[in-house]
Amino acid sequence: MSTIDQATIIGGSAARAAQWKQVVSFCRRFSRNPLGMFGLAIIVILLFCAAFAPWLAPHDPYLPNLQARLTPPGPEFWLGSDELGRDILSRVIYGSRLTLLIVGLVIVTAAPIGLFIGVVSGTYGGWLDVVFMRVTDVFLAVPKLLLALAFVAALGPGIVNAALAITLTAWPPYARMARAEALAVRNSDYVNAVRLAGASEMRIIFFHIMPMCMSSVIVRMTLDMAGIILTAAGLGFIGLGAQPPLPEWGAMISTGRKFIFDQWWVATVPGFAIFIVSLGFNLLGDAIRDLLDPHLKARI
Amino acid sequence: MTRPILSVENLTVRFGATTAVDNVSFAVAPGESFGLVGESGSGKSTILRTIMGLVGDWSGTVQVDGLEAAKTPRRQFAQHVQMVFQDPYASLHPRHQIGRAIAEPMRIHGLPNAEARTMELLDLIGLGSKFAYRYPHELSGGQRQRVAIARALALSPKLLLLDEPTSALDVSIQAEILNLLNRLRQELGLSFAIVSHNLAVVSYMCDRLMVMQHAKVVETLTREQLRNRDLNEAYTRDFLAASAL
Repeated sequence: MSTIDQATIIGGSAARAAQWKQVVSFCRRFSRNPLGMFGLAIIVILLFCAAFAPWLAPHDPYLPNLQARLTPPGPEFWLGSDELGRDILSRVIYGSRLTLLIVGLVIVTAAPIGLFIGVVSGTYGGWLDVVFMRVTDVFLAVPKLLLALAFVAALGPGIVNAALAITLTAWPPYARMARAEALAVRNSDYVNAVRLAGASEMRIIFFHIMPMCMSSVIVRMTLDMAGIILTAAGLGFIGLGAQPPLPEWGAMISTGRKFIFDQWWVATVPGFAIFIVSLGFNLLGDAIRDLLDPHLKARI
Repeated sequence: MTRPILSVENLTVRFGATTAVDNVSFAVAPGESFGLVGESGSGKSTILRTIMGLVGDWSGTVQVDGLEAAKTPRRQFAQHVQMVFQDPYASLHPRHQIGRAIAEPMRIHGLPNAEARTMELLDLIGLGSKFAYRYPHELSGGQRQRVAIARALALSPKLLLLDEPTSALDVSIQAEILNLLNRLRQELGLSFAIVSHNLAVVSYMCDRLMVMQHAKVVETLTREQLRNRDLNEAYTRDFLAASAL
């Protein structure tokens, strides 16, 4: 008995070591892509800003200072102040938290929902596939922002509702993609082999087919994040996302609109923040796709 | 007469309008190695896939060790017969370590000591336990086919269906795999049903063989008949001539 236990313990650590080797080799290949590293750096800075916002921000992002209304960028307010005299740099730094919150909420809901629906649909086929895919078609046919608008209008504005609304429009592409991958894999020999061993369909779906869809989903996720940030900013801009005084970037651009000809910095600074973060996610996603996409990998 | 380990009676398989297997019957005795030979598209692989339940539209009777294929739940059936696929590059999950792939059938059946038995199986097929933590892409074709054989043996079936087990491998590796299979058949008392279009492989491996053409059985021969050219059908003669055996 003890020898078996020992074998299991050694086996466990050796299995983990082999997995770790895969991770290390992935990181090494990733580090060879300079643009990907640049994107990763932007995202790391974003995460750092969000985590340490209270220590990084020079001013209180909510406290009005009416003597300092619409101050241009200078020594006191590095990136200027807005119409209530609040420091824009501090608000942008705090806004990174809201951006990450929305992106995180959408990704952890949309990707698993889409993945599950797509894989089940692709694996089972038949009427289940027809029902799931027609529902997906309907969601894909409705204009994204319009669906999100209708949803927020029904539930009321707010960060979480905005995230839910974006989720509602973001899952169908994942379902489509996961279904395509599942269709390619479901009758492969290695899936048939476990089927012959008597595995249940649920076991096949979760342990054998889903892992094969993960790389496409991860690639799609990182490339999607930029779009999610833009949609969230759009909802904020038309006043259906984060509500004042929250320093959400889209909402900040919206208030800066009134002063755009005389006090350009009010709208420009959050705009730049959105631009840089979206660019970062796109570069990161592109680099990850180069490494993970099974169709690209075959060519290299 | 002892009960055959595999008996197929009046098996007919259709894919839409085409008939892939037309009224085929044969039986494999316990411990026997039986070959299915024919050109591409003659329906031999389809017979194996039908026995394993991977083909939907078929009629006839298939019995493995007395169990009716159509009526036996797959979990129970799996303990009596397993299959080794043709392409070792496609038959192992690319994201699973070798040890996990071999242990998976035992996990599905909730067998105890799956890890220890995995190591035993790896030794049995001549790879050794250090291979348990490698991924398929780190192995050669022959090593992968050994792993596929180990996985098929995990549930200790009495019958193995081998679908062109060596056609994707180069010649020197083919001999290794065939010798491994012969050794396993003797040590574990297995029975084989081997599909191949390579007569050299079949005459080396099989006690009896069945020649197929256009979904039908042409004739059934023993190994001696094959070696002595004791053939009844013109097609078999042509097939042998074309194989230059």
